[in-house]
Parts: sequence; structure tokens; C-alpha cells
Amino acid sequence: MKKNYKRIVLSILALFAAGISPNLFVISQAGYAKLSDLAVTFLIPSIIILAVIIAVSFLVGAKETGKQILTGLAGGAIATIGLEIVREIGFHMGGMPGDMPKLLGVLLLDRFALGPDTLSNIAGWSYHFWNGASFGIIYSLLAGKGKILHGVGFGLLMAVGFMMSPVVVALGVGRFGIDYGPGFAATVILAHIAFGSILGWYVYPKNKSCTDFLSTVKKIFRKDGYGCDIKE
Amino acid sequence: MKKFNSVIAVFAVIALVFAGSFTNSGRIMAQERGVVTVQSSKSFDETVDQAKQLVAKNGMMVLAEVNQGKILSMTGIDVKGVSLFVGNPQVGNKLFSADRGTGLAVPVRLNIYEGKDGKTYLNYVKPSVQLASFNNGMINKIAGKLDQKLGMLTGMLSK
Repeated sequence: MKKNYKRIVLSILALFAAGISPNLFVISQAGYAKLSDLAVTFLIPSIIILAVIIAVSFLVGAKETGKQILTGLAGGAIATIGLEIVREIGFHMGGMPGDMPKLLGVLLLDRFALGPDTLSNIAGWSYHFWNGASFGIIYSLLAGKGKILHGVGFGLLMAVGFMMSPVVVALGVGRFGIDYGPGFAATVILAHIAFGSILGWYVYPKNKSCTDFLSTVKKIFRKDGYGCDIKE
Repeated sequence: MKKFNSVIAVFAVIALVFAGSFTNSGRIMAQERGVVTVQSSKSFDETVDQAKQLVAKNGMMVLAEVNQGKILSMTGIDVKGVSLFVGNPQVGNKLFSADRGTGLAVPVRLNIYEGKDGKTYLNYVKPSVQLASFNNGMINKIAGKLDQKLGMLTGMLSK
């Protein structure tokens, strides 16, 4: 029972830490702070916290949680490749106003005025993939094994969240890209469907014995065990 | 008839001198509404490098640089353009002491770009035009000096 609580606490902490990275870009685009400052103050600590949570989960006998986090991290990073393929095609077809990873890079290194260079591009792509990995962790912990369709739904929620965020306002395309054209919404939705379906496809067999977060919390109260039934 | 020919010759000489004064460096393209456009004799990158050196040689410094070409590359367009914000702390001190609002015009923005014809140009708005609205003798005097400095600098770029 005590072990179950450990898993719940670790999952909540991991969800919190994974949620930081994607929100930093939104906060910076809303004009509250520079992404370069937010990265130092929040992004790097959140990555360290996640690494510590994974290590602790293995040390305190909650390795299922650690594995779930690692599965989400890998799945999210792989799914970002799918998202990027669709986004790149959409961008070159005029469906996107800008190259997102390059934009992230110049904001991250605080060199917007000088434009992108190799280092800023590496930083931007790394941040973009880390965001994907973060969403992967959130999905893996919340959905458990999930289904491919759950992944698609998760991707659609991400797309809608992005298109309603201050980011699109700052880009000058308006909510849902209404001031830019239908290509924007089409690219964003398709890219996130690709992300979600790959994530769902990757996570399902890895988390096959895991239940979703809400079910695990319910199980705690019913005292009939927690989440992943991985034999130790 | 001889008298008529000599009158024509005098007019022709005056016309040539007049035309020559507009092509002082041979490359000043236009001075419309205070905007001075100069064609550089060098490539884009060479012009940017030389402009930075000339700014330093003329007692000013590049306070900020905006690489508009690289910024726009993120939108998928391929253009070459750099804006240099040049100024001098002493000049800034005098101008801001006279009127805090002069920050609207200084540091002066030099815009270097590659035109659609593949040639490199530099343009700027004359400080005297930008600062004229302050109606301040001291500011106008400094602005006139800045005009001269920028004129010299851009003249060197066109050679």
C-alpha cells in the first residue's frame, strides 16, 4: 500500500516536471518573460527533477513508474519525428508562417536579432524534441497502456491547445490560424495526429500491463493495488 | 549662329556640372524625403564588414545589429539584409540631455541590403530629418553633424 502511494507521488511529481517545458514557450510568447531566462530558471531544473524522479523510482521499488516515464520520454521523442515530417511538408507548402524549431532556438539563446545559426538550430531542435518527450511522459503516465486512438485524441488536444495559445497570437496568425489561412490549422492538426498516433502505437505494448492514472488513483482507494502489474 | 552655339555650349557645361553634383560619389541613388540610398561597390558581406569598420573609424559604434535576412529565413524567404544601429555615447548624452524623446531617432539605423538586382545598397533616414520635429537648435546642430558623418561614411562605402 505504501508502495502504491510512492508511485502516485512520483507520478504527480513527474507530471508536474514534464508539464513545465511546453508551457515555457507559451509563457514567453505571452510576454511574461524571455524564453532564455525561463530555460535557465525552470527548464534545466525540470529536466534534472525528472532525472531524479526516474532514479528515485528505481531506488524506492517503484520501478514501474520509472519505466512508464522512460517509455513516454522515448515515445514522445520518436513521435516528434512524425510530427516534424508533417510540419516540414506543411511549412514548405506555405501552411506555416515560420520554422518553429529555428524560432525556438533564437528565443532560447536570446539571439532573435541575429537570426538562427547552427548552435541555435541545435538548441531549438533539442527543445522541440524535449517538448515532444515531455508530452510523451504526460501521455504515458495519464493513459497507461492507452490505445492508438487515445494517442490520436491526445495529439488533437495538443493541437487545439497550441492553436488557442498565446503563441499563435504572437506569430500573427490568430487563434486557429484564422488570419493566415486553412493551411495552418490543417498542418497543425495533421502534424499532431501523426504525433499522437505514433505515441499511442509506441506506448501501448510497452505499458501493456499499466492502467491509466485515474484508474490507479481509484484502485488506491479501493485498496486493490496500483497501475502496472510488472513482476519484480 | 556662332553666338547661338556658344550659348548652347555654356548650357551644356552647366547641365553636366549640375548632373555631376547629383552623382557626387557616382553611386548615391536617391535622397527622397530624407532617405539616402547609396549603392555599394562591394558584395553584401563585404559591405556589412566595411560599414562596421567605417562606423568605428568615424567615431561611432555599432550598438545593436538586426540580421533581418536571417530572421526572415525562418519564414522561408531568402533575402540579405542587416540593420546596424550606430551611435556615440557623447552624442547620445547631448541629445538626451536636450530632449529625452530623441531616443526615437538615435541610435541611427543604417540598413544594408541586397536589392532584387543583386546589387548591395545602404540606406538611412537623415538624422536632421528625423530630429527636425524637436525644434531645438542644439539638437539640429548635432543632427547636422551626424548627417555629415553618415554622408562621409556612406561615401566611402560607395568607392
